[in-house]
Amino acid sequence: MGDILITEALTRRYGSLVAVDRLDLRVAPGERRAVIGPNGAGKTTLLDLVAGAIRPSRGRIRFDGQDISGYGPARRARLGIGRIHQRPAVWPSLTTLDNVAVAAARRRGGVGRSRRPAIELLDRLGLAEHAGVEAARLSHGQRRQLEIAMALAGEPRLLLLDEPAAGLSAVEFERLGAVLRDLPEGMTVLLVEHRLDLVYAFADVVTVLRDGQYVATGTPDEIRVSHVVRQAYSGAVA
Amino acid sequence: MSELDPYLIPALDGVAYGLLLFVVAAGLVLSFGVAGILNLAHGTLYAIGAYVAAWLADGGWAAVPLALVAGVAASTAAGTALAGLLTPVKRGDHLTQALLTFGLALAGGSLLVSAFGPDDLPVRVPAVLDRPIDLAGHSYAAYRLVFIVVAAVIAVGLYLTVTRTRAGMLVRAAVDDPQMVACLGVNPTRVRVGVLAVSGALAGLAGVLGAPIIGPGPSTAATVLLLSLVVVVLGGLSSVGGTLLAALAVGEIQTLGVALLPTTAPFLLYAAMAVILAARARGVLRRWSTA
Amino acid sequence: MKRLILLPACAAAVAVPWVVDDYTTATLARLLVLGLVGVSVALLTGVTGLPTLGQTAPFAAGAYAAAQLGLHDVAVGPVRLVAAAGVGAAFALLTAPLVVYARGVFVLMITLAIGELAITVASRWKSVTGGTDGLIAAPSFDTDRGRYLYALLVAGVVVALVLLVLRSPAGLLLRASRDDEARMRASGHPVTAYLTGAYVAAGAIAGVGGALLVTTQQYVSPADFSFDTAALLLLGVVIGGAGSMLGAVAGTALVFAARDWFSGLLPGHAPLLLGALFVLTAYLLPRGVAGFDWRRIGRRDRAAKGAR
Repeated sequence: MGDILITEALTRRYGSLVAVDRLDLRVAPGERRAVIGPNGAGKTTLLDLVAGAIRPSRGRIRFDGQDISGYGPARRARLGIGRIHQRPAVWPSLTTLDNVAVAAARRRGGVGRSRRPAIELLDRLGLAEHAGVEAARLSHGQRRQLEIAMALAGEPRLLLLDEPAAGLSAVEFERLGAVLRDLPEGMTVLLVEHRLDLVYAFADVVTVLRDGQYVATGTPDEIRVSHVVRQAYSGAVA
Repeated sequence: MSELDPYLIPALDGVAYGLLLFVVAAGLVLSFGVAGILNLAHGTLYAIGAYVAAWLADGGWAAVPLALVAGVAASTAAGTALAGLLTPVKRGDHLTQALLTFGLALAGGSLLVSAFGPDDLPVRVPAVLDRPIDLAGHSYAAYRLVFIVVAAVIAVGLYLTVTRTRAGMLVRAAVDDPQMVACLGVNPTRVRVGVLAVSGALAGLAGVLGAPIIGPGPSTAATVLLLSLVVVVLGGLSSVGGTLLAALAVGEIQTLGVALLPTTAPFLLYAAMAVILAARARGVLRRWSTA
Repeated sequence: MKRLILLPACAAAVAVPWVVDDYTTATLARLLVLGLVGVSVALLTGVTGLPTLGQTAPFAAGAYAAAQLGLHDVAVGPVRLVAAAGVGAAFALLTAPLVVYARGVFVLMITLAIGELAITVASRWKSVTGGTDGLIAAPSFDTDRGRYLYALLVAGVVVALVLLVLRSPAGLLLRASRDDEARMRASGHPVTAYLTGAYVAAGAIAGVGGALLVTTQQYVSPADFSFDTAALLLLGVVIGGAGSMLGAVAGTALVFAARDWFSGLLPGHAPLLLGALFVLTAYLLPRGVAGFDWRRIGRRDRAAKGAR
């Protein structure tokens, strides 16, 4: 017991397609869990389900002992689930600083009180010099960093990262690695990522999905050499 | 039986009215559901059909097919032109689309008034139909009875088209998931032209056949637009049956309702809409919001 | 830079009734009132991302409330204004569940229906509204100049308040909700509550507009709140740049002035010219003079989809 995130027979169907299929996951507090698998394995759907962006067709989700299956995304965020999206979602007409301040507002009790910590966060993510710029004018990589800053600003207990490395330059990738290393100890992270070097460097535990179904879970070292996993990736024909 | 008697005629009128609205609203559902366009000129497309009918109809039989062909052609052409004019507007820019179609409705209405005059035009139906017939002891306009039959046939035709044909299945799928059309790789401009042409044809057909019921005049376009919008709101977008039921309900409220409750009937229409909307606010509207 | 223009503009607005004749002053007062209602439309359409054709409804509610108070010898302006704002806000609160869950084109359709419902009620509820004959309001102020300056003062205060609120964090939250709703929810923000707040505030503003209409026009009838009015309000707001409040006042006033001018210019053909104005706006100024980015509304639609 004591797992912070538990999914029970979690299922999401789109018509006849089963994107996530009876998935049972358990993630311990403070754990860095990566979820990998070929395209269409249901990784992003899983994150959407946990964040509450979509409703499960079946099954339940427990967060910190509480059944949150029926909660909307805002309520889950207030409980401490933060996320970044696969395509960076920021508020283009707001400045970079205001983006972070608004993202932190619920946690800190107001936009005004969130500005100072927001500046610190932007500093850490290398966005300080763009603080006054409209987010619409940021590059893709900068928006990605910004959304990470926004997610961190909410001080989540569970952070959902959907391909944070996608589309980053080499420098930005380095910085992302550093940011992930520096995450607070107690923060639980669920990382979906295609860059396996990042996954193996960052994760304590790796779960492999395929066609929405559970394939394997293990340490990075176990997963790296696992026969089953290689089959999951290559055996699309089998 | 005798207590119900005085309401037989209004009730029948309601059926005629409702079926007429159904055909118009079907066109609106199409442009709204499939192309995502709130076409505020839809009533004008009806008015075009109605004016053509009034202009061509001379009380002879030969004028009927002529008016049908010419009216439907004119409204279809107008719908196609509308689609053409909408082409430069970005897909999903609902606001500009609404402004443009409203502007065209204003201008079109003005042009129709210049062409046909500011008065409501009388519409002459073939002499055989232009007389009362006996119906269970009541005299009833023959044309309306024929209209009910014809409109019912059209309604059944529409129902079968939507439920049984490939095109109809595509339409239903597109209403359920607007992004699907894009995924199919169908050119959205062509979808828009096709949808608005068919939508115009339906409005024109309703205009020609319905001219003796909701006749051409300066306020026709607005009346038809608003009533068919009410039908769409009441019936939702997802089923032909729902639209038909809503259209018949609106028709009955407008006729039988007025006969029974002269003072409250006009509220009834909008109150029904408010109730339906409220009931759906959390359910269907959530689905709607994904469009 | 903007302020440099604003100051003389304000001075000119105050001075104008001493320069032009009474008829023009009365016309300007009416345009000012419609401009204020335009602000409520812009608040919803541009800032909040709920494009509306239904603000004529709280406008009407406020107008009839103020007119009734006037007829019952409540002559104190502020009382009438507060009552009208309250009635407008209450109307909005009642209809909010119909509006705030919908997006994009559905909002247009639903608000249109709400506006039509209001007109129906206005023309039938004769004991309160005088039906289609309208209500002649109890006179207030002796001169057109007085009525104009009163409208200017009230509209000025309301617009200034709106601008202040939009500059505060509340404005940021609304703009962020419009930009990307899913991201707002993912940050724990109750977006629906924000939208409801904006919708109710817009209702109150339109209600104040209604009270001012009664003062400036001294007469109300359902024709003041027709579908055409709703469409012209939307047109004016788009011309003004949708997200800009002062732009909304100017754009709305311009559009209604054009309507009056057209009907004098080419009697009977005003709708044709007006229609052409709509079409031209749709083609040339879809982003308004202030260059509002309309794609955001489409973006928001997709974002809303992600939030389900």
